[in-house]
Amino acid sequence: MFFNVEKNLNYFKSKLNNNFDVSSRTIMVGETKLGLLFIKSLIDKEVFVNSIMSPLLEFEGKNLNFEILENDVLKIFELEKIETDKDVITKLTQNNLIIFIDGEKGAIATDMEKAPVRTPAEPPTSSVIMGPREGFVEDVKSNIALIRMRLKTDKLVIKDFEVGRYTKTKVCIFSIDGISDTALVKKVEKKLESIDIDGVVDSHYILSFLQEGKGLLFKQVGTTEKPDIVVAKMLEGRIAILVDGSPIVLTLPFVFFEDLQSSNDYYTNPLYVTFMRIIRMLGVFLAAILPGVFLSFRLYHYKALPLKYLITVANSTQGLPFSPFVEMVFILVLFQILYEVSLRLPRYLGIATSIVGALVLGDTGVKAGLISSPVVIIIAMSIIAVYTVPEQAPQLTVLRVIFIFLGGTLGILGIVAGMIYFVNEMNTLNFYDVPYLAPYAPRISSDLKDALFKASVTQMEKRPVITKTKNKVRLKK
Amino acid sequence: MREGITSRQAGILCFLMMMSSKLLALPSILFQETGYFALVIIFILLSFETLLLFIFIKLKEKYINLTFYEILSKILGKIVAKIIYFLFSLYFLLAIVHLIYDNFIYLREAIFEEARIERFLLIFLPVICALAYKGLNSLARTAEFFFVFIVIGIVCCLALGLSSISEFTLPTFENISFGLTFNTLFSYLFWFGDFAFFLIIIDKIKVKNGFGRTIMNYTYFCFLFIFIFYIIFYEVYKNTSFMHNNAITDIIALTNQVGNLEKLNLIALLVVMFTIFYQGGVLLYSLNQSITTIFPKSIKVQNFITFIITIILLFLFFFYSTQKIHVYLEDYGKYLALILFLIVPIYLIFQIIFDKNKKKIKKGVKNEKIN
Repeated sequence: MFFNVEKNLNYFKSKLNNNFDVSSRTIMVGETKLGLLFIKSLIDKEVFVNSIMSPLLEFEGKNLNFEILENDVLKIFELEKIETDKDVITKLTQNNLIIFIDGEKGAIATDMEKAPVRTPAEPPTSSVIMGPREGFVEDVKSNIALIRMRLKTDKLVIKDFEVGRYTKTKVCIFSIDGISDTALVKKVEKKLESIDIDGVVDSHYILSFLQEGKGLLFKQVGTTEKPDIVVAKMLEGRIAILVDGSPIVLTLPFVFFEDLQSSNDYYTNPLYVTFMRIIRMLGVFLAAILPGVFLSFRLYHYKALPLKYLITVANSTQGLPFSPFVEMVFILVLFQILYEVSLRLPRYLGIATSIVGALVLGDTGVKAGLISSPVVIIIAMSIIAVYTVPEQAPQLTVLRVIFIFLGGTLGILGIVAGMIYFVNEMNTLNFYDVPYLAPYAPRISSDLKDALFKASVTQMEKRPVITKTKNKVRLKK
Repeated sequence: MREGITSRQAGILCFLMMMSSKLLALPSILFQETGYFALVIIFILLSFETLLLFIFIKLKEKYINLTFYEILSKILGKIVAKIIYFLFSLYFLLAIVHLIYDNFIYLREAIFEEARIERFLLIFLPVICALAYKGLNSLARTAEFFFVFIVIGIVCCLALGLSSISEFTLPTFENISFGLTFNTLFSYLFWFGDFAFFLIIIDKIKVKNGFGRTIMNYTYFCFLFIFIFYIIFYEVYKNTSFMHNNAITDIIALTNQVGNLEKLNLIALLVVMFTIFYQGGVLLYSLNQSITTIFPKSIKVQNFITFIITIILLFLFFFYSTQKIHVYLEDYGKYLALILFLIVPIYLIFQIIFDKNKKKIKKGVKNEKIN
């Protein structure tokens, strides 16, 4: 940095490749020359005029220095003295205005953010019938506000990090002092500090670094888009990780049964919730193993099928050109293609594709004698069942393919073997020292109140044991 | 991380081990030999098995953190301890062969027509290897996870069996002699060594207040289930019980509660399939632990590849003569069981009692001094 304003402005402009949106202005305030440097696209012009230009032009003194500027002239909160070239560049790219004073060393940076912010709306993946409809947005400051609005306590601890050599993405760890496990917070801090990557565009980048061990098939970190869920999880002793630019908040520690819980569950009758969670669990099983089981019975154990059902299946599969295994794989691939297409196409075209896929391809395929209707029904049921627990959709899709292969080659014993193998694999996982299938394996009696069965809030007197919280009492009677 | 399982998990493993070997061919075999007296025989053998577990728990209470090998070395010396461990390894190996062969026959009859044993092994071996290799913690947790489903399955079988009893008749015991009872008990001793695995994992059970009671409660629960199962089975088939070799499936074959849900034997099949994988996993884990105790250096170099190679070699050797081994097992297995489940436990009982008396004497002397 130089003492001369013009030299400073030119130097930093060239440092930023003389990009067109890097602007500067030189003004005289009294007898002092000031240099203003900013990135046009990132600053709020209204704030710039009202909070910076007006006070400067109204200043009636002769000489100006950083102290006077900070204490008497600029009436804004965030002013920071910076001394190095690196700081100037960083602050510039983080929506700041940089002010140089002729003859003075260093500069002052002030936040002028004008980021395009989406209004908090209900997230598409976790809508509720009764309950808060706010969802996180891409701006981390708004997300922090959404959490702070619900956690009005001095115990809330936020630690922020800058991750990504180019993106300098802000990552914040949220915990509650006295409730969250400090060892876990330290562990996550260490992991975040050790990340040296060129850029972090979304929270899923951070998620990949938080994963432990080899069990990559299974989800290891909780994800949500709703602030009420984050706060509820933090009150249970978990920690939350917010990433600037992503509406998905990560929570730790995570267990499999968390995904069976929905935000709706906490705003409705517990008995109904228990029933729905059992249905979701059934959905998980159907999504993963139903096509495999059907295939194994059709190929190897058709005698084990009830007679009436066997006749129906036999009638509808007569004269098919493909073997049951090929037919199942063919329909599965067809459904997955339709699914991918409907996700990527514009909404109106997506609806049209669904009609073409489901009605035209399915119906015509069956009528033409290329595929059988039981297989279409089984695959459709399995794919629909995935969305009882949408957070587990990727894992269930992979498992479905594995179970089709097991059922098609080894029969029902293969399916049972697969189930035992995968449950055993899940039981070997201890992400962040928490058993993956807790509170069922190992059984933790006190945590069963909010697992598959849901107790009323008045009965959940203690926080879950798995979060290793120090402050165990939740409800004082 | 040191492996450690809770008393509940240990209890569930005991339940599954005790249950899984007694619901297939044993009811009909015992009936063939002794008629309705099989009920008394099974009661005596189950009591004996429960007593064995009780002794093992007492042993655990006495030597909380020691492995069974360390306990044996302390009492009998290292060489004898190794010999006993070798016999245990042999037992586990034979038990696996027995398990595979019996269940292969059953599943071939019930669901896998024309299936060859190689196909059965292709499914069974990798899974039990994975279960055993991943360790006791995950094995116990997996058992804990499926336990409820297995119990529900067994209860369904019992309920459906009960519903198919047309008339209750009191069993009559004919031609019963002490010699026949003793012979039968001795012949089927091998089938009642399911708790041998408990000795191998004895140091890995976490000790908390009432841990022994928890384990025993699961065992009593299982005892009750098995005994009720035998009563229902004999009541369903009465004098033709000896003809039904697949007791758990056959017990529901005559039920009139089928309605629109035909083929309820699937419930029994699933119960059997789930339990054999656990039994196989636990037996293989115990076998591996015994071998690594006999050859301690192998613990350091043990990894997945050596584990798999050892297991495959052992199985190749045994499966070329599975049927022969099965016959040998029926002829000579009882002698192995006699040593492991009668002589060793009796010695251990004496050891526990003798040691208690010793302590009492010492305490008495101390009190005298204080007075």
